[in-house]
Amino acid sequence: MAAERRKGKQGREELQVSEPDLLPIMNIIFMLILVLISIAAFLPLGVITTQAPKLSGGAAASSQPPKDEKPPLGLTIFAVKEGFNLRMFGKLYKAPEGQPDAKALIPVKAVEGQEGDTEHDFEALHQKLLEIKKKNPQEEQLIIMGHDDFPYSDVIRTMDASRMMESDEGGKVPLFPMVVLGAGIF
Amino acid sequence: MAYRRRKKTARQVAETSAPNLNSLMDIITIILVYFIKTFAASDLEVQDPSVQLPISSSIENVEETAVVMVTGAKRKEPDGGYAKDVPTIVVDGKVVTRLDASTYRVADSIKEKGFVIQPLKKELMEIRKDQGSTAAITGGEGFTGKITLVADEDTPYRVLSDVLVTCGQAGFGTFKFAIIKKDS
Repeated sequence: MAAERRKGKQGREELQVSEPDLLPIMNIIFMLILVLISIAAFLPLGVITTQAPKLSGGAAASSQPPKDEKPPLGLTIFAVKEGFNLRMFGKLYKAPEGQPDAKALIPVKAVEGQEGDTEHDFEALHQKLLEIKKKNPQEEQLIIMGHDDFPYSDVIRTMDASRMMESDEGGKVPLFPMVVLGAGIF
Repeated sequence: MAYRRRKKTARQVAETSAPNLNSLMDIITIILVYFIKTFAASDLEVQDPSVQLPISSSIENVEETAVVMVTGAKRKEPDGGYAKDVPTIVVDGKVVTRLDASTYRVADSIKEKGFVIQPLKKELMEIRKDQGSTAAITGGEGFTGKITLVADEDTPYRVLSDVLVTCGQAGFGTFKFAIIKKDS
């Protein structure tokens, strides 16, 4: 704090306290902000929670439910190179009805603007899962099994297509929120 | 008279011309505190140039857990290009094993039962033991069975399932797949 004596209007001496020079501090803080901004990744990280994969030989569950109870859906998505197949109530669906020669239930689609390239049709999968959910509203679990080269990014997209759906009110509600990754032969 | 009034005004302007930096200092300090708090609150940081995380619509936040990282086959260079890299499995910053770069698979020689990666299982068992002993001293939560998987978006499903089965074998049954939030 610098203080100096000056003569006032009527000739009396007044003690005048000058303000500290904040500019150097300002400069340092400003540089700190710039450094923090430059090192910030600005990637909002999140997670998707799943349970441990189940080793499976591909066969349906052997235990029989009581006759008066509805058998469990046991919904499984098989991501094969040709597209998506589904298994429900122990039955594998590999082609749409009336199209026995189709390569998959939900075949891969062409990538827009990239001739010859194909990708899995996640929107069609989502629509199919909505149909299944309508018929089985109490079911929440789903197993995903991918072929050996199915990329992690597509696993996440498959999960995104499976976990949530738009509600009639406009928000998002769970579709099949309990996603389990399967490992094994199929 | 008019001259004197003008003169006084000019002096007033001269006296008040120095800007008051106090309010500006307040704003900047608040911004600084916000930035520091934001960085301190993040439980997960991915700075490896070999890992490009996938994008997801998930809104779930990151938790503090043990981290298994599977790096990719290409590394992002500072000039924006890509260079080849050897995919690696890393647990809490420690390299556990390297994948076969040509096949993008875990070598069969280090696996048991076709899926369980032995060096990874050994490391995870150590972490499990450490979490238990730390909790015994600190009275904390202890072993939770949760693990965060940070994997490159091109990681093949076979490698992913090997890693997940191994984690399951080591007692980690709840997986948290790290993603970049789409809607944020």
